Amino acid sequence: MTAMALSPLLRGYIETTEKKIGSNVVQELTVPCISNFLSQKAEIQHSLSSMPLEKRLKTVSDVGKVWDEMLADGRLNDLRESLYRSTGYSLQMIDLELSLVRSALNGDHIRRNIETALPCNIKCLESFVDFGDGEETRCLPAGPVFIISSGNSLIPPLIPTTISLVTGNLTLLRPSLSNYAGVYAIYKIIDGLGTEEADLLARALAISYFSHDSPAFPYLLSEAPLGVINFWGGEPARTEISKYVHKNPFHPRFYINGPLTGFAIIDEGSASESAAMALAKNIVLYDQQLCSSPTQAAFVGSMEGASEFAKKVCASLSSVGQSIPMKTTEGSAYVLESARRFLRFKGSTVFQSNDPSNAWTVVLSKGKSPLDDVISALPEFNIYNRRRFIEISVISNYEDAVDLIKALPSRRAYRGIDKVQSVGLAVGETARKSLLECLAAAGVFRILPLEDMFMRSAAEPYDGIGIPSMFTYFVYAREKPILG
Amino acid sequence: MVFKMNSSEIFELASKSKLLKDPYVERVWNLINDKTLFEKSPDYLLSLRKSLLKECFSFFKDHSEYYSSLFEKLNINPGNAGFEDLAKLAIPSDMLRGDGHKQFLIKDVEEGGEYFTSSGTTGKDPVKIYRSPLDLAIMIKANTNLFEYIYGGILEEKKGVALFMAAPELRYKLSFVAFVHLTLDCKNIELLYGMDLVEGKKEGSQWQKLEPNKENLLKFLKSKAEPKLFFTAPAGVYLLAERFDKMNPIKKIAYKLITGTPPINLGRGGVIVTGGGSKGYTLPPYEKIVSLSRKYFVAKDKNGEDIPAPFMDVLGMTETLTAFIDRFGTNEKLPHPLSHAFILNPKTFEMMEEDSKEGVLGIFNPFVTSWLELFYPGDLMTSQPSKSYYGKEFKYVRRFTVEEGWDLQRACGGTLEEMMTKKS
Repeated sequence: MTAMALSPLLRGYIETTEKKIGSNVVQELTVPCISNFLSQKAEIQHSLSSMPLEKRLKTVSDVGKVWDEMLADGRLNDLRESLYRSTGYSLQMIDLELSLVRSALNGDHIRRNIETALPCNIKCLESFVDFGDGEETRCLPAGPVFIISSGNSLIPPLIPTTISLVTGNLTLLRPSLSNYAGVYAIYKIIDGLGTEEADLLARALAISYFSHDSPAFPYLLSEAPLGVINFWGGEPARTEISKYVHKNPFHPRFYINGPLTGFAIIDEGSASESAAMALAKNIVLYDQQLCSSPTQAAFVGSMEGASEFAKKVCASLSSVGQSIPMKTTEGSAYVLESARRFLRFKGSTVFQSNDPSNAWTVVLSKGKSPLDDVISALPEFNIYNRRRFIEISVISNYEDAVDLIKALPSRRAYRGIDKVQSVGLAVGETARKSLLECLAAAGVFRILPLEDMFMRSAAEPYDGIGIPSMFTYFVYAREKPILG
Repeated sequence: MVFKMNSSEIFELASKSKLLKDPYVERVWNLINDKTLFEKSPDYLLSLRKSLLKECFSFFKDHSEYYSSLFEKLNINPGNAGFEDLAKLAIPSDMLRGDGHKQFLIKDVEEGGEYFTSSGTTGKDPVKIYRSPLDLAIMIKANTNLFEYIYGGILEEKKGVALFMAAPELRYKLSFVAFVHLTLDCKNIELLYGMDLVEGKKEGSQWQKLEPNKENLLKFLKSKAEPKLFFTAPAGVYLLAERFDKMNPIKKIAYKLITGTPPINLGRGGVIVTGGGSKGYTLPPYEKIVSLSRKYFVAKDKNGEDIPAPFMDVLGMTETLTAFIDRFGTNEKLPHPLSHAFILNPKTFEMMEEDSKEGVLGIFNPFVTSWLELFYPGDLMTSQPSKSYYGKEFKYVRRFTVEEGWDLQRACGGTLEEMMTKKS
């Protein structure tokens, strides 16, 4: 395979060093170049945050519009192939992902997200806003913002980066290697829009890959005049990066979005075919690599009911999984089959597909899950390698489901995961109401219908916090003395 | 309770096994002692193994609640069972790590046997297998007969000398060492261990390492006994040959004066037997090891004519009672006539009937009495037609390579982000 050159995206002075990382040739921005970019902080952030918010949102929407045109006329075909190779997802999955870019860049959605994250009128992003009694507030960029984004899909880097730009921040994005080409192609569009607003947004953005041993990392994390660092990912990078950040004399805010997973709860009364299809759909999308993807399920009811439901899930997986074939390798097939046998011989009921392009597995277990023992013997069968694999634990009451959620982070089978992010529910209304507080107390971030637990409302916070509030701060002004 | 037994003690204890009263076990014991199995046709042996399979399943159903419920769960009726059921029942060897073997042992498993473990070089818990006295006796008999068939003759009692490039302590740990030790013990052939296990303590932690036992090495090299049997990991013979190859002429002469070698004359019936994998060394292909080694090892046939040193290679795992053995240039790996070797499709794990296609090796040993020895060790092999008793030979391809997975970091903080409606 020919080496793929990954160039940085930056307006103005560019200086790079070249590195070979696997099959990729990477041109990283040098420290002087980054320093030069950051030196424009005051000017660019002032200009951006003075620009009407609607113009910023329109520019972002325009990027999405052009993207859709490029997608429609085949200009993204090479990128499609490249992402197929670099991410390990199937072409059908890549197609789905590329088609979702426009929604991620939808100005209306971004506005709604900002509205729900900020405690006052979003006009405060342009100027002081009176909120009564002569009290005013102005929301300003807390940046420069440095985002180290995750690698599980193309869309996640777009959200914080776009919100950072729209809230007026000088923004430096370091995408993952696997999605670099996609992220680059999206933001490159800004360059060609030809408006004054687009020009300013383009000047506010730098994208570059930095390898783990790049001198840019110690500079950016420990020395650079940053306002916010936002890291998306898990260990060991998270701890290493934290050590650097603590040395930074500018004390940037440091936000970590760690590895999370999804959990499904189904009760016997709701175990319909549509619930089974909902679970199957969430399992197949991104092969469970999303933080919302259900990787474990609890069935509240009888073993017989669970078995019936499992069969429905199997049928749904067969149909929905066919439309998004998965990639399997000799090694992954071996580990999967060994794990299935291990579980079966340990007493679990295992339903499986032998179709390598849709190799789903549904495991029914009662009592202590043997999955942790499997991981001890087959450490390769970790959560990152389990694809289209769900263990349904049969339990007798809803409290047990909450206990399973609480116990999940300490289980060997979920090593590397901080906790459960999303809980998809297919339960009766009374059960749902009683579960809400218990699940919230268990630390989950999202409680959703099982049907679309992968969907994110524009109004939702991210892992417990609104991104716009991560990247901004408030200036308060009062006209009159309080004791007046 | 585990005893350290010699071969006579094992046979003595095995003869008292209550299991021998079971018709299936009695049949197995008689068959294992029957050397004419190696003269039978492949079809005869296939049908023999098929009938043993049914009896074997039936035996384990009666002697183990675990197998009884497993067969029921998988809808396997021992009376109608066939080879196709082996694909469903084979366990991955990884299940035998740590205490994994315990769950498979029959309820009336007999005490007084031995445990063998894998070397643990994979970084995981080692595979640990219990062998009852009766199974140990079966191991000695079956492997000796197989070895002699591949070797091309009987190992005569009290004749010759063997060198094993291992430490004697490994006799009670590694099954390959145990099988060689007990076979030779049974034949009263002197076995010298070429290595010592040296133990030490540093900063409170215990360490062990293998060091050459020069006295035994010299004794073997200078011995006039015939045949000389040299057992080693492939790395052992290769490194020795390489050392000779790189020796300067002066050192070579000095070495020759002290040891009489190189070349190392293995004498009439002498053979080099390799086994145990690469042991972490990066080695050239086996053909290269053989050709280099043959420059420094010589042997004679039964008539005293010089021949290239014969090489046999043993593929044995901790979890199989009997090995697969090949003879370089003569035959690829052959299992014991009663051992059923099969190849599974590496993607579907269904039985593959075609030869020459790479697949996952599965092994079923219906003569093992303590557990249903039916597993796949994670080796890729091919089969090819053979004129031998087995009708097939097996060629080792490689161990499975298991990827660590994607580099993708699981942290999207969300999901199919956004705001994601396709309605916009």
